[in-house]
Amino acid sequence: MTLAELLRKYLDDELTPDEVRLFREAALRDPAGLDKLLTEWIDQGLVRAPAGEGDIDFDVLYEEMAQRHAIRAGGRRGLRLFLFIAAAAACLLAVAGIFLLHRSPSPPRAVVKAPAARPVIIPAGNKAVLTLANGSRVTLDSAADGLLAKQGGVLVVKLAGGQLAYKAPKPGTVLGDLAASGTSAPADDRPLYNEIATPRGGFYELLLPDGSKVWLDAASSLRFPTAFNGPSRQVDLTGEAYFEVAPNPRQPFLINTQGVTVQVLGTELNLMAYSDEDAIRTTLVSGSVRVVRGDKGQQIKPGEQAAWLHGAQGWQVSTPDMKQVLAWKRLEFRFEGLSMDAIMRQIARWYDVDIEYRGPLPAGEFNGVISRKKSVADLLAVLEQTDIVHFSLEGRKIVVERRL
Amino acid sequence: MSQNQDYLPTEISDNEPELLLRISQGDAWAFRQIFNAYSRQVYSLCIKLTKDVEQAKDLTQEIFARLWTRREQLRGVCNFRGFLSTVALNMIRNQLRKKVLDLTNETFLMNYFEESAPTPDKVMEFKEFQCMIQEAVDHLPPQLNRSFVLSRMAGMSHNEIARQMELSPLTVKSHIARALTFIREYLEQHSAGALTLLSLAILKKFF
Repeated sequence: MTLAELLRKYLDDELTPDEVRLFREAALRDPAGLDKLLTEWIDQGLVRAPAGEGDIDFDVLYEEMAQRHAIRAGGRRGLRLFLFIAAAAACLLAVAGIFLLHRSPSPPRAVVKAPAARPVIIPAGNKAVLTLANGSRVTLDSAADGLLAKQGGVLVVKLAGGQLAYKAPKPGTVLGDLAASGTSAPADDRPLYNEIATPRGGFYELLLPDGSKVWLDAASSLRFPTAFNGPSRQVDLTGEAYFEVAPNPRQPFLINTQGVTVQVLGTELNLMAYSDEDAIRTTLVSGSVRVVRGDKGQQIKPGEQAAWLHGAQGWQVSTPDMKQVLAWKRLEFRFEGLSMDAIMRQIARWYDVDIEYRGPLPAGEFNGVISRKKSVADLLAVLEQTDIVHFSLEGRKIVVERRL
Repeated sequence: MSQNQDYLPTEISDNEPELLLRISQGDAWAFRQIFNAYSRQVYSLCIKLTKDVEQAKDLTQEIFARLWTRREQLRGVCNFRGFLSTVALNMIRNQLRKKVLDLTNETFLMNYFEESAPTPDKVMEFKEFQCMIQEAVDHLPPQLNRSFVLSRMAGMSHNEIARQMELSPLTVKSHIARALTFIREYLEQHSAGALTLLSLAILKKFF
């Protein structure tokens, strides 16, 4: 085989293990030939991974490189004009992420005080408790990866990424035998229910037995059968979750929460049903869903949100800012025209802190984006820059005071 | 995913000369735009040539870092693609000679080319050695561990794993080849005394 043939097979993943040695030797024997081939083929666009290759996080890749090679604004002229924030502010913003805040009616003052030293309250992490059908509980953040439990013929596996997966292996396979061995699968095929609950300050990702994916936000829970055997796939939600439902027209996916049922065919949607928020909001990303409460049903299209306000008599349909609705899943806080108490409810859930207001509620609307990975002190320091609110931390309690 | 669209180079083609000028003056923001536009293509080249996610990531970073250190040369470059290819090719050539084709990498490459989606037999064989191997598996880095567990414990195909982990099949294959290389080395280092010659021979066959 010529070097060109070997190289082509190498690039196309078609070498046999034995040919690896041949390829190595041929390439090392004729570096100039290898070079010529590579130059030509790259120029002609022949050396290219299939579409979809590039599944890595390029933002992380860039940041690592920028740090290692000190790539930062070091312009000699011109662009510095844009750096309108004082050095102190720049430092703070570097910590806090890009965040623009203003209050109406007057713009923020550019004076930034160094944030006072505060105890570090860390953001939410991969934390949840799994309650199995027999009532036993597994703390998922400390459980080792691998097989956690057998539920009926289903394996509950904690994946190395921290994800929880329900796998129903085919009977007769090694794994199927493992799943079936020594289990207390009820003979009458009654479904076994598991429940996964995140505390405040926790979030979790899981893969249901039908292949549907669920991201559970902080202070939320999902109850589901370990196998979907009935005419529909039914789960119960409290709090907030994002669903990527595996399509199956013959077995609709139903999400129940506080008297509302969301009927799904195969779709991606966000369902926010925190009891301390003003409404139950279903936001559709793709596909189609129907939301039902009592005898009132409402169909929504991708990009739309159906809301049932507490105490209301019907559905309200709107087209919200999707970035804001889905910010939590991208590990962002995104405040666009949000009131102080709406922001503080999100902070309380994410950082597992309590909120106390002293004096009147700070008025005004807030706008900004900040990473959910920041410490609460960083986040509060940024909010304080509006000069309309002051925070103090007392243990795990945030005291909110209006600044006059 | 919408992310792919964010990185289409056509989006910046209009103001590319302006961006290059700004980079040559040390503007990191402009550099980031160029990175966003071309990093996927460069990475795709690197993974195709190294077969290894970690190497491809490092190499991509080094190629762009090289662009940055040579930024003053970017002023007035009208064929940026050509410039980028030249830089990339030089670095790839080095990587091939020093790392990819080095004798120490041969085991990895052989594992890579041997690696195909598991047959039920392979899953079965793996289960029989699971106790011995579990310890090694536990020491795998998280991503490799997850790919490997899904492949050997759950018997999923590369494509299924790729879908679940939101990775490409090539990455999964690369992960598993790395995991196998790691496990083999780990077993040879840590349990040579405990393993009988027979089981070592069997291990060699499967890993």
